[in-house]
Parts: sequence; structure tokens; C-alpha cells
Amino acid sequence: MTKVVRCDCGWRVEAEEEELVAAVQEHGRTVHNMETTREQALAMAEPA
Amino acid sequence: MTGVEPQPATLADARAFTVDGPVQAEILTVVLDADGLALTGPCGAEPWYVEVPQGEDPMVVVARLVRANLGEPVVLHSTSWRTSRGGVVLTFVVVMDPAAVAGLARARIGRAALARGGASTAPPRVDTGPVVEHGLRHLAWLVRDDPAVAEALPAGWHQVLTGYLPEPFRHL
Repeated sequence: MTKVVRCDCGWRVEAEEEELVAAVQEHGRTVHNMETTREQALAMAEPA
Repeated sequence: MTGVEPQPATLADARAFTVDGPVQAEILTVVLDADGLALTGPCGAEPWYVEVPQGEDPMVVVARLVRANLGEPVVLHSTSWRTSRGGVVLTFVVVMDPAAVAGLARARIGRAALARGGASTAPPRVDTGPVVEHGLRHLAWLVRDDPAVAEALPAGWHQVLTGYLPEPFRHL
């Protein structure tokens, strides 16, 4: 199922689970210096 | 490996995907283009927040993220701090070459009254406008006091920053 995660900064990703987790982790690390676990990424996700 | 590894965001805050932590950096990415001063950044024309993990040097963290996301800064300087967003927020002004961030959204920077506190108390509220204004006033002081900043900033910056000097230092 496609899900969406929105960052406070305006960034947004809509993707299937694996791709979504990777994108969230990459955005957090490279833009905000944040480490995000898979569980945290999925907890932020909402149905698209 | 040196320093402390970045800490994961708390699960309680997970849904928000918000930068948090006891120390956060607020990066104000500014450019001077043909239309004047503008705010920009990888998160749009807004302040850009990053986490500063315990044990890491905020300047090093900010410089690394600026280079990774925007390119080489012209000037990078800390300009203020305040308590906000559940922690201590360290504000940095980063001056970029407009060409280096040409693809990013920009918003014109207007003048703002500074947020004033008491003689020994912080302002009760500090919005983005006053923080940007304070940062540019700080830069206006640096360009006259710090040879490294003066040399790094192009002539146009020297001229525009004269407008941010306190009255006693202005050319009349």
C-alpha cells in the first residue's frame, strides 16, 4: 500500500513501504542530521 | 570515529517528523541577487533546522550539512541563540552565491523590528523576521570588524549591509 510521510520542512514522500523508509531515512540524515529507524519512519506514515 | 553518534528521534515525536533535541541549529540561508536580499534553503524559503547531537560541535555540523546540501558557503557565522522548539536553538547565517542555489525557492527579506527583552530577560516571543534582522545586523558588524568576513563578502554585500548598521556607524 502506498503511504505518505510529510516533514515539517515541507518535504514529502509518497511510496511503497521499502522505498518510503529509505527516503525518510535519507532525508532525515542528509538534510536534518537525524537518524530515523524503520519503525519511526513507518509510524510517521499515513495512507496516501 | 569521534564524537557521539546522532540520536534517533523519539518515538513520541515520530508522527511529526520534526527536528528536535536539546540543541538544534537554525540555518538562515541568505543570498544577494539583482532584486536584493532573499532567504532560501533546502527546505524552501524558510529557516532550516538540523539536530546537533550531544558532543558534536554545532559549527562543524552546520558546515557539513551546508556543504552537502547547498555547496561551499561564502560566509557561515553563528549570530544568536534562544530557547525554542523544546531546546536551545543556535542560529547561523550562511551567505551563498546566488548561482549555487539557483534552483531553490527564494523569498525577499524585509526589515523587521528586533525582538526586545528586558535588561536581564529574554524577549517573550521571537519570530523569524526579528531573527533574520538580528542576523543581518550581526553580519553588518562583522563585515567591519572581522577581516575574514570583509574579504569573503562581495562588494554588493558591503553596500547592502550598511543599511543594517546602527545609526552612529552610518555614513551620512
